[in-house]
Order: sequence, then C-alpha cells, then structure tokens
Amino acid sequence: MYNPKKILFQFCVRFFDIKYFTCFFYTFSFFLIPSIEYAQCIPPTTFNCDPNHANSAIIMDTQPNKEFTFDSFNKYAGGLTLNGSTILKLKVASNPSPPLPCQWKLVMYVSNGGSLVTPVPSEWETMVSYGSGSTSNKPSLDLLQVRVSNGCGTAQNSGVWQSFVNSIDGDVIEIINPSTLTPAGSGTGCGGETNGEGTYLGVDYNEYSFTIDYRIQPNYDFTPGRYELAIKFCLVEK
Amino acid sequence: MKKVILSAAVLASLAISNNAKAQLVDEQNVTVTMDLQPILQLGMNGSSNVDFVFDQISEYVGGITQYGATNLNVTSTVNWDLYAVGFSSRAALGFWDQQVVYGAGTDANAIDNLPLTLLELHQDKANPSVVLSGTGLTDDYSAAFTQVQGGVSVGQNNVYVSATPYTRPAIDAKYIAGSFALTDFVVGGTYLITNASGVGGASDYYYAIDYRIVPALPAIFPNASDFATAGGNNATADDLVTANAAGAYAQSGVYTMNVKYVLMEN
Repeated sequence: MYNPKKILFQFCVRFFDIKYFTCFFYTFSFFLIPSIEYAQCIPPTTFNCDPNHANSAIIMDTQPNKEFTFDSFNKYAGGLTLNGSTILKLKVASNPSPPLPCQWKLVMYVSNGGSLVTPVPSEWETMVSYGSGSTSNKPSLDLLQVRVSNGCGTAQNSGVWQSFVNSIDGDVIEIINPSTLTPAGSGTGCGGETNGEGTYLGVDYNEYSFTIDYRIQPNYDFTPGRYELAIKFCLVEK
Repeated sequence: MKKVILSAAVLASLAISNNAKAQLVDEQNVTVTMDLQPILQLGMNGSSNVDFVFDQISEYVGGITQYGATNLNVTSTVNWDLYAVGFSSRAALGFWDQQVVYGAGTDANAIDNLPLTLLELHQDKANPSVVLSGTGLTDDYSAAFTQVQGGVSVGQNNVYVSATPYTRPAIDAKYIAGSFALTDFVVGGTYLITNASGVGGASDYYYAIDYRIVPALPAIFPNASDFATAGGNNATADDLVTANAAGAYAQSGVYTMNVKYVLMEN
C-alpha cells in the first residue's frame, strides 16, 4: 500500500520542486477555495439535480438595483414600496437516474458588506452621511421588508411582509425549504411548497416563479445618509 | 508503476474537484440602496406682517397683544432646534428701523432708537427640551405676559436679538424648542402624525406665538431689556429713559423690525 503523504510529497517534488509542507499548504488551500467562494450559497452534499446551467438555473430578468429615495415627509412616514421589483424564474432538472429524487431549496440572504466594511454588523452599510450628523442612528438590516409570492402561493409566508429579524449580516429568509419532496402539480394545480424538478417554462409557471416586493418605512428615526445592502437569492440542491 | 499510481491519484484528485463543483448551486443578487435625505421644514400660518398701531391712550398704557398671530409647524427627519430672532438693518445696535417720522421731530428727547427687545413673544407651550441656560433669565417664551399694571417684566418675554440671525444663539439665549447644547433638541417628527407629545397643535412640533408691545406713558417701553447680554434674556432694563435720559420718549413715526424664526439641525 502506498502512503498518501508520500504520494503527495513525490508529486510536489517531481512537478513543482517544493517541500512537503509547502505542498500540503497549497493543496489544502486548493480544496478550501470553493467553500470560501460559496460562503453564503452553501453547496449541497447530494448530486441528484443536474447542475448544468442550461438545465437548472435561477433567472432574474428584472433590474438588480433597487433605489429607495426618501425626500419628503410623506415618504418617510408612509414608506416606499416597490411592488414586483424582482421576479425570479427557476428551472431545475434531475440528473439521469439519480439515487434519490432531485430536491431543491430557495433562500435569500442579506449582507451589509461584511464586518470589515460596516463596524456594526446589524446596520446597513453607510455610503455617506448627510447633515451635521451630531447624533448617529444608522438603520438596521431588519428595516427592509420583503414579500414573496407566486401564483400558487408556494413560498413560505407567501404574500406576507417579512424582515430579516435577526438583523445581522448573513441573516436568511427561507422561500422554499420543505423537509420532504413536494413535486410540482404538473399543470393539474398547485403542489404545495414545490421543490421537485420542473421549470417555469410551461404549465408549472406558478410554482417555479416568484415575485418579490420590497418596502421600507423609515419614519424619522435614522441619521440621513445613503445606505446600501445586498440580497443574495440562492437556489441549492437539498 | 509509481508513475501510474501517481497519475491515477492526480486524476482522481481532479475528478473529486470537478465533482465538488458539479452540484446545483445558482444565485442572483440584488442591491438595495436607501437614500435618506434630510428634511427640515418650518411652516408658518398667519400674516407675515404684524401691525401694531398705537392711536389710543389705552393702547399706549395697556399695550397691544396679538394673540396667535403666528403659528409655526415643524416637520423634520433630524433632531432640531427652533428659535426666534429680532432683526433689523440696525440690529448690530439693537434698534428698530425708522421708516417715517411724524411731525417735526426736532425735540431732543424724542428718541428714534427704539430697542428691538421691546417686542415680547409668548409661545403656547414650554420648550420640550431639557434646557437650563447658564446666565439667561428664562429658557423660552412660555411664561405668560405679566400684567402691565403689576409693573415691568424686563427680559422675561423679550425677543432674542442678534445681528447674526443664522448663528445659533448661545446657551443663555431663549429658544422656542431645543437649545444650544448638542444634548438639548427635539427629535425628528411632524405635527401631522401622533407622536409622544401628541398630534397637531398639541404636539412639540406646533407653536402658537403671541406678540405684545407695551409703550406705556410716556412711551418709553418699560419692558425692554439690554440686548447686549444674552440677546436680551436678562433683567437689565433698557427703556428709553434708562438708555438715554430723563424725559426721553419715543418719537412718533413708523418703525419696522423683522422676527425671523429659524429651524436648525441640532
């Protein structure tokens, strides 16, 4: 039997002329990179769904930048709502003869740029502050409200305004994440919290498309300024 | 043989790496930008000209009071302070502007240097901010006008006077709401929506202002205070006799001054 350490050492010495520990470091880093790259959209451990982007994808045709400008008292008091501002369309295909049926989940994460950018992880990222700023009260991440819906009402809390209640960088709102497989209604109706293979193209459009509304009601509590956050929608095999 | 095994190991490693990416993960991103622009609105209801016409002895003696002549309302997204400032083209000297002189006006005792502090203000509710000025007489204009017959009330309701009206008054000056200190302010809000202090005219975002001028007989304006100290918020008399000489009185004529209401971010 061959020792894996010895094999790795020989490989490094032969092809790169480096020592074992250096080799180990680079190799370890190589395997670590994918998990950093997908720090929020956590890769699955199963392989039942087809990862080919042509067959499985989350598609967003709507404008990715949402601008809320509060420049009058009635907007501050009444808030601003962007209805139908984001529309997500999904298509999920199964691998050929998978060991288990293909299941997926759809979640959304909030980010303020990370703790290196924003000192307080619960606040929006501050781009600029207006006025004298003698007092500082920055908006928290739970100020943003989102409402997810579709024709079948498959989303969790469908049609209900929600916020990132933990108000921290990386907080999550689950849109679709049932514990078991819920196949599409296949054109005969709505399939509940659908998470099986299917596509928005065709009769199951209402189960594979999602409309997201956004709302902010700042009132008069926050320091004037320009603030920013990011939302990441993740489609992941479950 | 070693090469074969090594190659197999490398290929297996690459295969594992490829499998690690061959999983269904896809994402889309949305950036949400919120632009909170500062709003600082001061509304004023009532005539912008408040006339005091003294053509009766009773008006000279008892003065003229204009109740609720000005109503101020505030809408703000930031913490704010509100103050009134008496101003004229001769504000540096603390005097009204004289527009017209009635009669010959040749009497040396007929004084046209009428102090700006002769104008008294009254606000309908107290300054909601926690303020206590250092050397100032009162924090605001909420004290009721004193009875004329009861004597003078120098400094109590006299308008704050300054030649630099947009410079924040010092800590010893009167404010309608808020004060000089950064810790003394009214939080952002509006009179249109119910808040901790109420809504509409009852709230901290709405003030009804009364005006009073008491010339007295002779017309020396006994309530006038010295504008040079705390902008008039002191008990040092500055009536025409004190400021000039015995026998002095106000020269008949038309005088004007300007009261600026300044809403400022704390």
